[in-house]
Formats: sequence, C-alpha cells, structure tokens
Amino acid sequence: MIKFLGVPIQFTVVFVISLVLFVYLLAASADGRVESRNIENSSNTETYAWEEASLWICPLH
Amino acid sequence: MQNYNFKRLYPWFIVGIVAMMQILVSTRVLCIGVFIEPWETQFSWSKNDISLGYAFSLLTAALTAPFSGYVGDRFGARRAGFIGVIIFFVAMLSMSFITELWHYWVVFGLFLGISQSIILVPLVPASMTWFRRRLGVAMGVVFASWGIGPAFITPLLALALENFGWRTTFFLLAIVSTFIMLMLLVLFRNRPSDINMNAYGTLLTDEPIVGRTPPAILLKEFNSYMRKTRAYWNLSSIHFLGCVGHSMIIVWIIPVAMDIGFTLLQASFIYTLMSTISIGTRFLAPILCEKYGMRTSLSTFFILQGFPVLILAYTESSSMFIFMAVIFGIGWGGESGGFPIFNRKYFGQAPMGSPHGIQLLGAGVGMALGGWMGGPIYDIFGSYAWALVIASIASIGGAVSIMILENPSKLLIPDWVKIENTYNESLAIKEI
Repeated sequence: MIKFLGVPIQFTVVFVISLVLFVYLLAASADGRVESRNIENSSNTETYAWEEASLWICPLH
Repeated sequence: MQNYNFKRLYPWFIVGIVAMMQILVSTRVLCIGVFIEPWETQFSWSKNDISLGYAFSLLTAALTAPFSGYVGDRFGARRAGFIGVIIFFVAMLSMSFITELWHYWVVFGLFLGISQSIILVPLVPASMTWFRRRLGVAMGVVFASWGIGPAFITPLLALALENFGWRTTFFLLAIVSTFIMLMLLVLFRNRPSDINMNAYGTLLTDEPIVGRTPPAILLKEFNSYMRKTRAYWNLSSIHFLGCVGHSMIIVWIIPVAMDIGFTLLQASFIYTLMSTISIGTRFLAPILCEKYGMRTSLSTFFILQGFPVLILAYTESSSMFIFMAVIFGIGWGGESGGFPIFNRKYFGQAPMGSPHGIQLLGAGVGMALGGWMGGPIYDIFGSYAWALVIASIASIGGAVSIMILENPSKLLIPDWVKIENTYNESLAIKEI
C-alpha cells in the first residue's frame, strides 16, 4: 500500500485537490468582493481579515 | 409465545427508533429554508449570513463525528444520546430567544451541530449490532428516514411558522422533539444482550457475541488495526466525493433550473421530484449492495449521480433537464447507503464508531464544500457550468475509488468476536 504521511495516497490526492480548489475559490471570491467595492468607490481600501488571509494564501491571486 | 414474537421484532423496533431520531434531529438543518424569509425580514440578515450558520452546523457535526463515534463505542449510544438530547434541548430553546447574528451562528452552528453529532453518529453503528443478517434492509430503513423527514415535516413547520411565528415554532420544536427523543431513548438498547437476546439472524453455528461494553484496551487495539487499512481512509474520501457531488445540486438546482427558463414553482417541483425518488433508492441501496456486490452497486449509484450532472450543465432542453434530474435522484439516494455494509464486510463485528465517525467527517466536509462552491464559481464565471462539472467529476472520481477498494469478501482486520471472547476467557482464568 503506497502511503503519504501515514495515509493512503488515494486519500491524500482527494484531500490535496479539494484543498487547492477551496483555497482558489475562496481567494477568487475575496478578490471579486474587493474589486466590486473598489468599483463602487475607488477611494475605498477597506478589506476584511478573511479576504486578506485568503488572498495571501492563494499563489494565483 | 407473545414474548418470543416481541423479541424477534425488537431489532426492527430499534431500527424504527434510529429512523425517528434521525428525522427529529436532522429536520432543523434540512428545513432551514423555511426560516430564511422570517429572519431576513426581522433582522435584515442576508441569505449568505444564514447559509453560513447552516455550513457551520454541518462542519461542527462533521468535525466532532470521530469523537462522537468513540464516545458511542466506549459508553454506548444510549448514554451518548441522553447527553446529546440535553444539549439539543438547551440549544433549541435558546434559538427561540436569539436576537443577534452571532447568537444564531453559535447556537445553531456550534451547539446544535455538536448535539446532532453526539446523538446520531453512535446510533447507526449501535443499530448494526442488532443484525447479523438482513443488515441491508435495516440500513435501508435508516437511510430512507433522511429523505422522509424533510418531505413530511417541512409542511408542518411552515404551518407552525405561519400560525405561531418562528420563536414559538422553535420553542415547540424543542419541547416536542426532546420529549419524543427521551421516550425513544428510554426504549432503546445498545445491544441485543441488554434484553437477553441474540442479534437478528444469528444461527446456532455463529460464534457468540459478548454482550458488554467493549474493553478500552481492545477498542484501542482494534481502532489501530482499522486505521492501518486503506479502506478506513478511502471510504471517508469516497463519502466526501459523493457528498460534494450531490450537495452542489441540492443547494443550487433551483437557480440552475431558473437559469434555463424554469419558473420558481417548476424548479421547486423538480427538486421535490428528485428528493422523492431518492427516498426509494436510499432504502434499496444497502439491500442491493448486500445482494449484488458492494463495489458494483455503489459505484453504479455514484455514476448515476455523476453523469446526469454533466448533461445538466450544458442542456437547454427542459424535458432533458427533468429526465436527468430524475436519474440524478436515483444516484443521490443510493450514494450513501452502502457504507455500513462495507464497514461490516471489512471490519466484521468490531465496534464501528471510529470508521463511521471518520466517514461522516468526510461526508460533512463534502456537503459543506459542495454546497458552498456554487456561489463563488457563479461569481467568477457568471454561470454554474463549472460547478456542475466539478460535482460530476467528484461523483465519477468516487466511483473509480470504489472500484479499487479492497475485495470485501474477507475481513481486513482480526475477527473481533474471536479476539474479544479469548480476551474475556483469559480474564476469567486470571480471576480464578
């Protein structure tokens, strides 16, 4: 049985792909919210902690 | 004679208790939709705020499931149930007094999630110990109850809401549900030996099962055996994939249908049709798994759940949409029913709290992720097509994972019954 960090590779693959998808979608969602606030009011630089954190975690955003 | 018949029927009575408990506990989550409008009106909470409470509740129930499984194995489903019902009662009563959004998130998301986990997670493994044979039919009844609850209780809740308002509805739900659950738990027994009988379908040639709470040392040893198998982990990831595959549809089918031109009423009808069809396959899936082979039956249900979703993503035809929704309903219902049968085949009569808990952890996280992802994907691409494609890939990935699971014709761990009997005999010799 091929294992990675003590769990089967099949489980690890599902976990990693789901985590990547979650991080990407969360960052995309945060990016969209920040952008739409900027369009409404260009002087508005307000961001929420979860938006900053998710943009920081995702390498594609 | 009467006593003999009563005892023969008791395992089915236990199944009825578990089904009723599932209906009572899960209804407040599955029927959350009826409370959205009153809360929006009274508190100006957004749909997103309310759905976050729903997601928190699912996540809390999922994350605490392995712990609840252990509590059930160690102390019995009955004791765990009493503790869970007390938490349920306090939390449901508190729901009728909430005034702030965070009250709702904490009470509904956290405490009701914990109570759901402590009550429900140990019940399914406990009900499994009542059956040596015909486990498929028993599990079919238990899983069908998930679908029956929302179908019958949602209209009753809506009626109560209209007549008494949401606060009184929660108050009444707390009192009535708690009373019924306490009565059911008084009648519930953890295992057949508690009323001096054998599990349903026990033959004279079967090795006797010890009718006591399992020794902690053996429980720990067996949990470690289970954790070393591929099936223990992979059944959890398969449950996760299956739940991602259907929760996206459950949450977003109405907006998806309206996107291609259905009215709200027609879209709701499609959802009801899907749910009703799923009740039949919830019942049939464990029976089919037991009869025709688990890997073949369960992977077929996963495929039936996955392929129609791919067509839903691109079809413009309303009749094709309805047809595919019906096929999806068949797959959705059958998706979860096979897991207890897998547990029995792989781990035999060993206490099932741990594998069942880890599988529910996967399922709960999958439900939360699948239900949530439709929103951000629609915001990014302006359509649900990619969300539907991901849901479809998840289901088909689950089907492939099932096909490469270990052969269920033999146990993956030592035989619990033999080891427990040997352990107890050695204890008896020491005492002498």
